[in-house]
Amino acid sequence: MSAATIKVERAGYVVVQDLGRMGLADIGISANGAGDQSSARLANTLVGNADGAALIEIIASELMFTAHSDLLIAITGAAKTVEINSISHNTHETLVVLSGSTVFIPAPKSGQRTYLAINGRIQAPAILGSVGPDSLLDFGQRLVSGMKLEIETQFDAGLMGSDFSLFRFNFPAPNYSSEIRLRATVGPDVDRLRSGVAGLAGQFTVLPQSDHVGMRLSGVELDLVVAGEILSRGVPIGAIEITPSGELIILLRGRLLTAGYPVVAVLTRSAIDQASQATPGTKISLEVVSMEVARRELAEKEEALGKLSLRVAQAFGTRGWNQLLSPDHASFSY
Amino acid sequence: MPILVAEHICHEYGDSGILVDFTSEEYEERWQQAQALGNALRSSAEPGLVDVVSTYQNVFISFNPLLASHKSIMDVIETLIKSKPAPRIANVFNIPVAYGQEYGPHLDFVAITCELTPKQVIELHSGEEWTIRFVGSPVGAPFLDGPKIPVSIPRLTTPLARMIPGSVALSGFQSIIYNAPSPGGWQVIGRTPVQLFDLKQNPPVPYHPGDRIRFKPISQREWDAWNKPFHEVRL
Repeated sequence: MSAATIKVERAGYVVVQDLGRMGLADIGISANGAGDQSSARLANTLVGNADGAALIEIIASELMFTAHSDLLIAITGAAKTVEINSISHNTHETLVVLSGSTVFIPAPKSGQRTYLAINGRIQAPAILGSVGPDSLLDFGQRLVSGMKLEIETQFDAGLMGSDFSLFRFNFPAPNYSSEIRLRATVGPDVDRLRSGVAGLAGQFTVLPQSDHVGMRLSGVELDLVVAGEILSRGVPIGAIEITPSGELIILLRGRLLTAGYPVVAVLTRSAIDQASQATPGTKISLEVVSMEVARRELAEKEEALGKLSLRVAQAFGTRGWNQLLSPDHASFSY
Repeated sequence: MPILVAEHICHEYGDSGILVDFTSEEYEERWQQAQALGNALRSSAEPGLVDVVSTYQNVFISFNPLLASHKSIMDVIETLIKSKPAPRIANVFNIPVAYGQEYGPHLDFVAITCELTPKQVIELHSGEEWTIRFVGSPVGAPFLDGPKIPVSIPRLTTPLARMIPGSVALSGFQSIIYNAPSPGGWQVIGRTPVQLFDLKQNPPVPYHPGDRIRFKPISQREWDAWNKPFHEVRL
């Protein structure tokens, strides 16, 4: 392993991230981690890393850095293009960056979370098993201009070839629009809506007060049944809650683990990823689907990512790059 | 301990979660059943289990949908629910608290709400043991019930953006300790100088559901002597 370095030239709101802290609910620690988990996993998969490896999350802003070593990178999520030495490339592909190059990831035109994965291991301190930020733990690593970041990697373009068009995996890049449809399954307190799930019809708008804890929605007058208090209980990421003022909140990855509000529906895993990309003002409609449909959607997404990771492994193998593949590549940690 | 054969309902809760509702008549029994199932699940090492959150009368379970399914987890629940819960000896913690003034800005409001004097609220809050019903967020907060609060305490009309760590607060008939500088909506009546959440310790909080807490009023002069991580003060 050699230590590669990048130097941050310009950074908006950019953090070192991973899939978060799971399994710590019994000590009251929220999951957090990459808002759009599938984009983060995809970026890592494209560079041969384990899907849960540390990577960079760029939130509604830009990043420019200089590579002081050769790097193998992939950019996914909201950014549609990346400039390497002022030459534009598509994101959602594996890209070679030669030492001395400047990489510019522009602020996205739609969507708000972009992921940058780099083959190898980004050196960053972790607590409770994650490098990702948690404001309640007062922990996290934000990239600021002038900062250097080290990456342990075996990539060396001189030995391995530096052709930019080495790869063409053509994995479909998501489209983010100002009107989205989010799939959800029925929640335990759907009877708080006088007309059941039908009461969720219509178009909601994402309010600016939204953050990684929850997305606040307005726009539809809900017809509610008056009922007793609910004792606090564990709530899933993606839970759609009715607040005491009659509005909807969608809980995201920074959510507190327990709540006492009625939960009328729960977003599917991929809808949670979509929601994390929605900027204030985005129009949202909810599509309530059966658990069967939700399970099938999940299985199809996992199968597609699994197939891609095999293609990446094959492509690396063909070039004699097996040492670049993490032992956990293609065995998902999610 | 009784053998756990509990009335319950399991709900599929999103594409990778389950909510168990315990429905017996007795509050205390529902809580014991929820805690026993939570403990049994956590020690089951069932593949794909991610988080288990047991609260007053519910257990919320999230699982990795690549390794488990609603059915596989529900089958485990049905087996565990018939097993005998492992007994656990409860610990009692004596937590020092400076009440009122800058430490407890909402003590007067709570006193007026309860038609008591601030001194009587302190006596009520520190007079009897509280039971830790569950440990939740933010960051290892113990959710407590115990002494008979005469009136349900309303939440703050505007939640605080940043609770001072150690804040001891009331809402409804429950009490809580905020370990982290999180937003919060409970009425703060005092603050403990002891740092209960400590990442250098494993587990980072010393207490478990079922343990008990007795609050011990201290004067502001005594604050500094107690202002330490939990493992250095021995409560």
